[in-house]
Amino acid sequence: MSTIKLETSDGVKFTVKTQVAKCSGTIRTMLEDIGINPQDGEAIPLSNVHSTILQKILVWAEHHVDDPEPPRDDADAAKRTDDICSWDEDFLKVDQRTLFDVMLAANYLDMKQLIAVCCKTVANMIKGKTADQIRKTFNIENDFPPGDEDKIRLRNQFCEERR
Amino acid sequence: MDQKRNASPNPDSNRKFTKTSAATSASSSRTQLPELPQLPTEIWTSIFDHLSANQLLTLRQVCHCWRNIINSNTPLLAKLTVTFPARLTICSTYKPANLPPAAKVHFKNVTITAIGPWWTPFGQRLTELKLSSYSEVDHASLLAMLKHTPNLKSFELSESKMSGERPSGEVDFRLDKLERLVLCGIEDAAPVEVFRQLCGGLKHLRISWDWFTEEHSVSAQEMGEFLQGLQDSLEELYVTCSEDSLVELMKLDRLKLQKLTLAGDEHTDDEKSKHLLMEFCRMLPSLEYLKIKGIRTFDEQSHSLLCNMGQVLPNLNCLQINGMHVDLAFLHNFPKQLQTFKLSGDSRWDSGSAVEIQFNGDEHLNLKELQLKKIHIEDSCLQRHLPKMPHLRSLTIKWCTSNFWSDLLQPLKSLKLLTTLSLHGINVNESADDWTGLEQDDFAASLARLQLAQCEMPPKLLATVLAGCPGLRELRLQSMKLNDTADEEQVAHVVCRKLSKLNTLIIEGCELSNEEVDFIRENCKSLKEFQITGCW
Repeated sequence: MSTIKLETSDGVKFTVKTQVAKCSGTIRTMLEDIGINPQDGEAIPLSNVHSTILQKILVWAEHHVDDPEPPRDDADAAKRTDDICSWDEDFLKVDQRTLFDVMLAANYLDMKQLIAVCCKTVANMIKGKTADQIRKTFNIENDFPPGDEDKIRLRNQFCEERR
Repeated sequence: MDQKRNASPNPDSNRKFTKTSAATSASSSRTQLPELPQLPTEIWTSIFDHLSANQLLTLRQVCHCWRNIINSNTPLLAKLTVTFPARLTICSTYKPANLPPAAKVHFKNVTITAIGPWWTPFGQRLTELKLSSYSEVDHASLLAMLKHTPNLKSFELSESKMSGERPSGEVDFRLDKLERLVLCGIEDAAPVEVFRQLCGGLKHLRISWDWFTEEHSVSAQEMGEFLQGLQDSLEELYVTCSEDSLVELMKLDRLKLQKLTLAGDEHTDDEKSKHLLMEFCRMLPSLEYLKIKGIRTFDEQSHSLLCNMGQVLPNLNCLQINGMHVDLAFLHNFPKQLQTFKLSGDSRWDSGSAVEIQFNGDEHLNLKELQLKKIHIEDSCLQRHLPKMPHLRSLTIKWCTSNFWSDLLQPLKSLKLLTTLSLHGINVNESADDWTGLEQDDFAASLARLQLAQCEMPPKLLATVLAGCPGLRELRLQSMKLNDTADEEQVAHVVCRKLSKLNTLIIEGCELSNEEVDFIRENCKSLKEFQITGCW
């Protein structure tokens, strides 16, 4: 089975099955379009990804390498957040810092399915929370002057959906 | 492969990837950083895309960054609807303060006598405009509003009144992006004439005048003229059914509809209308969805007509009709893609007269969704018929009567693909019915969603029903009458003990003790959503 080498931002080299590495659109493009030859033994530099995160992402890719292509244009399925498979759910039970780093890396590596499942996970963290709770959860500073916040609340009143 | 699927996602030992050089710097120093990394806007956008309108409003209050992300993203804004307060009067001096940048606007029970300059910038970004629930608008104001909504895709005027002077002369602008138009329950034909001039590319049209019959009501001829200009673009039509309107529809020889609803309060019942309907179907072989509410009943005499209909509509996948004494065997004449069938009994039907359905076909039906409404189900009828529909995924029974509801549960066992069951308004007479043999039986193992609304049954029976659906993920109980409160806690126990996959439980308008609620909260570990409204 063919393998390729990847080198992370902190200089760590990984030897990875080509098929697994191709879960990344970025790497796939490098191999197929730009024509980087994996046999050369030269490592592909991933200057935006740290080794701890790549390690984690490769675990995900290894698990999902045989997944069928997701159906396109399935707008409803894309909006759901309750369809995260239990393996992914466990996989993403990590501290927030790691979750966000995984998302950034997945974005850099162009791994749509991993980004999607991360987005659903974060959406689930937001659901049902008040603005204050959300700020606490994500450690966001409230940068509205007090008056502005009231104004937004007033504006929002026009849009609230009551059941 | 199985082993791989079961492997832990976080394998600390047994590493699959070989590190060729060591680096140890990472984790310890990183976890102490308090701030999260910045995500690019497109990632935030796709996260927010999973959230509802109300949640988006909350996000707008979190920080500048998030508010700007939402305010600058058209698809996210498209989820927000501005609803003006009920009983508001909008006159020339009215100016709303703090209008959010939404793409949809809804006037519910609002009177508009004149529209001020605030509308001009607000209208530009609108894609949806709706006036409903006894709103009132004068002709000139409506035109003034529409003139500044060049991006409008959907317009609805329903159960509302037009006032003032009717517009004279030609309209000097167009709404070329308009795809969906609803003119419903209006008592004036003027908007029909206005929209005939305004739009040319409508895909979805709903036009009905069954609410009011005033002097200016829309005539079938006016509707026909309107439709003439829309023939080439129209995909979906909802129209009041009458002999006159059918005659007008038959004149539209370029129509290529996919969805057709013939509405009305079952005014038409004569053979001529049914014949016209048949001829009209012949003109629409592309039809995928046909709902006939405006013809009162199909019965034994309609059998051959229904069979013919199946032959001339080769693409139909959804059919809804009113029927009495119908033999469902006619469904065999429909193509294999017919997946949804809905049958309503006569609304005038009283429980004394039996409205029977039969099914004389031997073959299997390909149906995936079946709904029966206001029908008396004869003894053992379901037991005989349901097993002939092995592909059923969804079954709904509303306001039907039967002496033997246990007949329904028994055959569910043969429906291996059934995931959704809804029962509304069913009264179970325990003494007459035989429920033995159902206890301790997973009679609906595949069922994932169960809705029980306004049903009257002993709690013991409800417990039996729930225990038979061990795969349930979603349970809705609405206005249930449990006519013996002594055994009530059984239900809560079954929910917690047997339904290990339940993640959504919604209880509305039921009698429920605090102990039961607490019991469920504590013991039902799989629950992710638990809503209780209007319970006592």
